[in-house]
Amino acid sequence: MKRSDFPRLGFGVGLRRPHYAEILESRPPLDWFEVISENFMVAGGRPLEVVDSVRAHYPLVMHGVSLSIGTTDPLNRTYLRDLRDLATRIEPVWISDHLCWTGVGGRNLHDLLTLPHTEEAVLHTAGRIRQVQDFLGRRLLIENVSSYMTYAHSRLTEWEFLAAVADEADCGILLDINNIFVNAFNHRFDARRYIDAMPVERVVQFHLAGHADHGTYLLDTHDHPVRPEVWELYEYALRRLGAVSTLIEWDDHIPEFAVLAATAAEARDREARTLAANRDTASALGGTSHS
Amino acid sequence: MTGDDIDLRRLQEIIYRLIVAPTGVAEGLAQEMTLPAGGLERLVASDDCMTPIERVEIYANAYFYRILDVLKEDYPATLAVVGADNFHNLATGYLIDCPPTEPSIYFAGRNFAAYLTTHPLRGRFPYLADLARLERSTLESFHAADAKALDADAMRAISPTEWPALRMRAHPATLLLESTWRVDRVLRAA
Repeated sequence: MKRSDFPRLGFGVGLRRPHYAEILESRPPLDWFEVISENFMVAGGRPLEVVDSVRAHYPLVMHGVSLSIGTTDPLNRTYLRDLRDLATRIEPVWISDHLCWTGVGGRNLHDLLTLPHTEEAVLHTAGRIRQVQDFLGRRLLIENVSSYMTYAHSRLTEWEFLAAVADEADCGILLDINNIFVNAFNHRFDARRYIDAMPVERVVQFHLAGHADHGTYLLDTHDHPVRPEVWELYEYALRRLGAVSTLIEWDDHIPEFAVLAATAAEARDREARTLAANRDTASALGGTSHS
Repeated sequence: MTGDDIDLRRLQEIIYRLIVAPTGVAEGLAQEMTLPAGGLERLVASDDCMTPIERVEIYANAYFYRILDVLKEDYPATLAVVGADNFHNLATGYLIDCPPTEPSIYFAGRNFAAYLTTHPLRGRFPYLADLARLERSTLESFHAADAKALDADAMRAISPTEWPALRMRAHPATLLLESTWRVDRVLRAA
C-alpha cells in the first residue's frame, strides 16, 4: 500500500460528549474529527444524531477500542456487523483499532493489553486483520498501544513487531507518538529508533495525547496537555515520515474545546515549521553537491 | 529452554485471571494452577525497576478503576445513597459476579441492579436495586432506537371507521418500571 491510498486529512481532534453542542453551534475550523466507534454502536438517540450532524460538515474517522484483534477468542461477528453498519451510516474516511488484546474466554477487560512480540503473535494477529479487512471491504489502520510489561518470551522489539504485523496484514499504521514516548520510558529504549523503523508508506495517521508521570513508569492517561518531549518526538517523526494526518486525543479531565483546538493549531504550526526547515536543509545540501 | 512453548492462548488466560483476581495480583498468583515452571517471571519480564507482579498490578488497577468509573457515571444516585466506600465494595463484588463480556463498555454496568437485589446492603437500603434499575433504564431509554412519535395531526388524519382496528405501540424509548418505593424522588434528590 501507499500512504496516498488514503486522503490527507490535516489536523483534527477526538469528538467527545462535553463538546457536542459547541461543535454543532460554532463549527470550529478543524479539518476532521475522530469518533470512538463503540460510542455510536447503539440503537438510536442523541449520540447518533450528533454524529450525523458533525458528519454533514466534517470528514470523520472511526477509531475502535474493542476489536481485540490479538485475542485468541474467535472474531466477534456481531461486533463486526455493528461496526460495518456504523461505517455504512457515517462513511468514515478510514477505520482504526489497536494492536492489542482486550480480553479472553468471552470476557472483556476494557483495556488495551500488549501482545508478546513473537512470530506466533505476528501471524495470528495479521491473519485476523486480513479477515476483518475482507469483511469490511477496506484496509484497517492499527495503532501501537502503551504498555507496562514486556513478555519474557518476546523475541522482536515492539517496532519490529508493529512493522511485521502491518506488512503481513497489508494494513496501515496509526502511530501514537505519545505511546512511543511512554513505552520508551517504561521499557527503556530510544524512541527515535522506533520511528526510524516505521515503514513510511504505511503510516497514515498520528495520535498526540498527554500522559501522567508515576515516577517508575509513565501512564497513558489522555488527561494532560501534550508534553514538550512528545512535541519534540512529533517533530522528529515529521522529519522522518513527512506530513501525516494528526489527531489530538483527550479522554479524561476533558478541557474546554478551545484547548483542544489550540493544540491542533499548534500541531499544524509545528508541522509547517518542521517541514519548511527540512526543505531548507535538503536544498542547502543539494546546493552543496552541485557546486 | 526458550519460552516458545507458552502459547498465546495460555498466556492470555493466565494474565486475564491475574488482572481480575479480586484480592490482588499476588494472591491471584498464589492460586494460579497453570503457571509454567519458573513462575510469573517466565511470562512477564522482570527488571531492576519493577517486579512482574507490580507490572501486572498496573493493569489490574486500570481494570478495576475503569469499571468503577463507569458504574459511578451510570449510577450517580446509587452512589450518593450508599457513599463512596460502600460503592467501591459493591463494584468489587459486582465484577466478581458479573465480569464484562460485551465489546462496548456501555454494557459493563447493565447487571448492577440485578446484582443489588441479593446484596446484604438491601437491609439498610431496601430500595437500592429499584433505584439502580431506574438509573439504568434512563440510560437505556436515551440510547433506544429512534422512532417517529405520534402527534395530533397524524391522529386527526385517521378516519373514525379505522379507529376500532387501530393498534398503538409504545415508542422504543419507553420503559416501564414497577416499584413499591418512590425511587424517582431519590433520583431527583441525589
